[in-house]
Amino acid sequence: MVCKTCENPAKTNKINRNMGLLSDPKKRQKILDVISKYNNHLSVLCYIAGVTWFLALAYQPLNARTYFSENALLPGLVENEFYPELDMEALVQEYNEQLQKEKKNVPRKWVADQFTALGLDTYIQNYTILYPLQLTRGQSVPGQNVYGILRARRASSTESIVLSMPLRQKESDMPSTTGSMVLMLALAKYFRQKPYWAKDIIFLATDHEQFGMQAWLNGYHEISSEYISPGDLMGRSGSIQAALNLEIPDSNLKHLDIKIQGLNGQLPNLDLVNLVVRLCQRERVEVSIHKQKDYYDAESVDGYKHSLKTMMKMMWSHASGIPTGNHGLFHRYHIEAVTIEGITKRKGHHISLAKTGRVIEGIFRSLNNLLERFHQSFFFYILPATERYISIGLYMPPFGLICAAGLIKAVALWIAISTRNSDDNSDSESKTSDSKEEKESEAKKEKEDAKQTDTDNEDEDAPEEASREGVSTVLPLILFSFLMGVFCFTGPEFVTTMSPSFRIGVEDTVFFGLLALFSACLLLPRTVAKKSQSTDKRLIFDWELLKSLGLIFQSLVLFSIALMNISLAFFLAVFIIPVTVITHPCKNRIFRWMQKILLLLLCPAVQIFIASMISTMEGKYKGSWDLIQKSFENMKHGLVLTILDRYLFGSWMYGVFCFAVLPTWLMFWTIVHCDL
Amino acid sequence: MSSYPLIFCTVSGIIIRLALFRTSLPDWISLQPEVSTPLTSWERAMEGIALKEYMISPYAGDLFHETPLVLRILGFMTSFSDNTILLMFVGLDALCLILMVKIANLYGGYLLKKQAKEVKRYATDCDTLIIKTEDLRIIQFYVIVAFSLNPYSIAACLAKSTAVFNNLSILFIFYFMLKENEYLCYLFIAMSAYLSIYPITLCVPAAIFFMQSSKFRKNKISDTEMSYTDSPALFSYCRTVGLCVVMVAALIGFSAFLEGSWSFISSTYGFILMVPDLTPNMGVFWYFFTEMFEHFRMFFICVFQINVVIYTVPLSVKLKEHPVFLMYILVSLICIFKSYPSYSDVGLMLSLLPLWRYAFEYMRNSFVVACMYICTTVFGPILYHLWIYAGSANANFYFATSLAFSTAQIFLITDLLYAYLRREFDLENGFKHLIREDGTKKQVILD
Repeated sequence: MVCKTCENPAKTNKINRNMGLLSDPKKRQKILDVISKYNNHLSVLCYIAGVTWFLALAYQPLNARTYFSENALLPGLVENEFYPELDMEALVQEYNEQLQKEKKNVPRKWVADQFTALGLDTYIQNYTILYPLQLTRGQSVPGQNVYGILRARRASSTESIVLSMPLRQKESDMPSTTGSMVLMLALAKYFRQKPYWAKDIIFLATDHEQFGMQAWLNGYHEISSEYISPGDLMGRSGSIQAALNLEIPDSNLKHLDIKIQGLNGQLPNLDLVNLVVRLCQRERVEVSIHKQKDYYDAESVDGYKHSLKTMMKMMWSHASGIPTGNHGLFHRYHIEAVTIEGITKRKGHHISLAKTGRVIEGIFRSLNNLLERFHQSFFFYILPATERYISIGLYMPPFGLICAAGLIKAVALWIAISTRNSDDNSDSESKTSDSKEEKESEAKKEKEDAKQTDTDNEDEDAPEEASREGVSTVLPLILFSFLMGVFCFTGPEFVTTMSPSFRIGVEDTVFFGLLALFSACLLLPRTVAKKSQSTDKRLIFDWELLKSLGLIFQSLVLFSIALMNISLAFFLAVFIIPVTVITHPCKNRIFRWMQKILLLLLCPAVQIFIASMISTMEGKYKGSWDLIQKSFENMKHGLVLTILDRYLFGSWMYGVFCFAVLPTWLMFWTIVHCDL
Repeated sequence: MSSYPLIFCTVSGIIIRLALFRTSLPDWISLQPEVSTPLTSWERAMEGIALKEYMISPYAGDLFHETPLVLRILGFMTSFSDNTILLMFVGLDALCLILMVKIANLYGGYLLKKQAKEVKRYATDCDTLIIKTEDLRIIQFYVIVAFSLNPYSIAACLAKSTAVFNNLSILFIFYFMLKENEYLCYLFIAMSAYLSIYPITLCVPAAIFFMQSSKFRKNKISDTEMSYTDSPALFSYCRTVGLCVVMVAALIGFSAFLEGSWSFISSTYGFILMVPDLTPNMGVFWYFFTEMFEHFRMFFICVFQINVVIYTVPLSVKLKEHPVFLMYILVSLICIFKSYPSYSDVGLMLSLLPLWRYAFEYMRNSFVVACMYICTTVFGPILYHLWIYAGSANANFYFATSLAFSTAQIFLITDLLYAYLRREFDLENGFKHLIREDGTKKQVILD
């Protein structure tokens, strides 16, 4: 390697061609020039192109039709023969009577008896849940799950499939699951007679919704946690390959709805979803995602609108990172699972329970064929219709474009900073050459150094004139932002240990505690402002550097989230990026206030409120005031639930907001407050 | 620059390590493949100690790969309570820090001496490039910051990675070399080589360095006049290499005496060289060899292992006048290409990086490299989680990040190399020749 000056441009080009972008100074300079000159245009272009492209993916010609990757599934190859011997209607009656008997409890005993009568290995799991945040004043809540194992005839119990359902008492506000119970019993009776099972089938009825399911899974995999003690599971089968959760009310079924979203935005393998859809179609049962059926003419404008709506609904519920059903907890254990929910309708054509049973029979016979765990098909996808999918390869480029809007701005700012610095350097260079100091001998230098250190000390004492620039002006702000994140993360536990003495509800404590912390965050720019010589406090720092770093950090956060939960990343990116890109301190008051208002609209607290408002809008409400009140209540409730999920299920949602979203937002909030 | 920031950074580094030991972070970090490799994992070390207590040779199985001397040191450490062990690890890090500060000081002195020697051949207009004492004091500060607040070093400390012994001995090499303490320097080269084989290449820069210093002491000649190939020089090289090899042999022999058998050779050095454990890590070996047909395995192992050390030859020809820099580059290359790299090595490499701060302004890719480092460091654990725990991603995702991480490191090293040479070039030729007649700047290219 030899350094040399090159005078012949032709020769330079020749060499450059081999050197690539990173070491080719000329091309690099060109790119840098383009970025620094047109960064605003480029950002806007990238953002608009990205969002349009992403939304356009819902249009049928732009996405792909689902297909089976896993050949072993052989969906629908066999004739489904489930015609129940049991009188289903009578069973529905009987179960409802049992529910009537004990209104506040679920009929576990009855379920266990039924399982035993059918000849399953029946066990009852006793577990206790200690709610965090003093929700139950330190008392643990007991619960029981009932499960029966049908041992496979053709294999030793090394693998199993789960058919599960939540037990719900009469007074529960959730729709009843009588249909699930009846179907489960009828199917268990039918499955037992068949010789072809190669995997154990576990029939599982869980209590306390997702808590019960988590307790069972913890127990099955022998995981103990601080809050859930699953007790001993007396009976076990092999490793669980797949699970199907049933939420079927009673016999007035209109169509079936598939719920896929799991904890932390994990989705089941697309093959499993395909399998359910395919078997429903085979039995002529209408199937939907998020209650949206497929549109008959998907290539029309209305068809596009319909798929877009489906996609948005899917992404909205995906973004929350909360499981939509009990199936969502299986994903964490590398078990593919979906929930089938029955949508009821009083009038019109009904699907019989037997037909639903045949769908489930088909699914289980396919799962029975599996040779290895689901691994072939996609795990990262978005569904705009039941039979169409947008894979990670399709949605990442537009998402990357949206993020590129922020990155381009960051690079442009970085270039601006580095040119500014090099200008400063050249200034100082010219100064030194003017003074014509000859520094040859070491002794001379040493003396000068002594002088220099003196001046250095003086510099430190002198008021910070140069404190406009440099990393040191920005570091404290970044540190404070993250510190606030840490406070928010540990806050709820702290305030709830104090709350019992104040006689305030847990929801209120958590909400107002966080609100107080958030107000402290809002005041952060004021508190860190330094007093300069003039009497008023002024906040001065290198805002360009902070903005550049903030934008890079933001892109990093968004990409990291996108790897796990593209929907959340998409919604965050779409709303945050335009505002953060335009944020800059300015002297004009109107602009400054507009920016502040825009940023306030995007702050995590308002984000959560808007999110809960949109979710409330899907339900019933009277008038806008009622809507606001209801969404406020929902927000408080949701906040506690999110924190609860963190402790009980290991949800990351709260952590992501505390350590990623809030600090980024705070950085930009301080940028607006920077005094020029 | 006053000493308060230095003390503040040191203390905050120690406090951060101690405080993070109280959280649940160490449990998680010690499971991360980037931090604890089969060679440096604390759990495996415990396994080895447990086996030894039951009078079973820890090398009989396939779990333990530390050298016998480290086994004894670890055995001594584990005789204390858990909290004391944590304190010991923080103490070892503090020792590293002290060594680094000393190295920074010594290196500053060395630089000034070297500069005084060479100043005659510098161009007249390159005043701004001349290093002054206060620059050196800043170097010291940056070294402290780069080590005590370095996330990679902190992670390695939290995971109780046993790579800290290797790092210490490499730091001792730098320290004794700059102190011109020949025999101790050789001893620690031998020690490092004993611990992880690859640092044996470091005897090349050491040989050059001590040859230079002995010649300089005798004849007072400057670098340019110095011959690197005359017979005294060759004799000096042979002496260094010979001494290092003898010391390594002595250490291995001593270990065999302690162990009572030679079985440890295959499960320590054999393990490093043959790469039987293909657990994912930040390196390039595992992915390649999982895909490899058994038939070609031996050949490609040779290729990959030669790749680690082959750069020693061209680099020592090119950088013969700068043996300390050569040594740093070699340490970094070993850290990138070794068979089981970990964050501990990265931490060492990045902490010593500020020593070359005076060349930083010539670096061209620092922004890109910094972004790559940050991104790959964040994406690594996420993709590992998605692959291993969630089962939704696969090995390719993780390998992509580890490859990007290695690329970032290579970019950093090549960029540093370029910057260093470019600065030397400017020192010799000055700035004037860079400006064309019409006033525009000429481009300098690397050929």
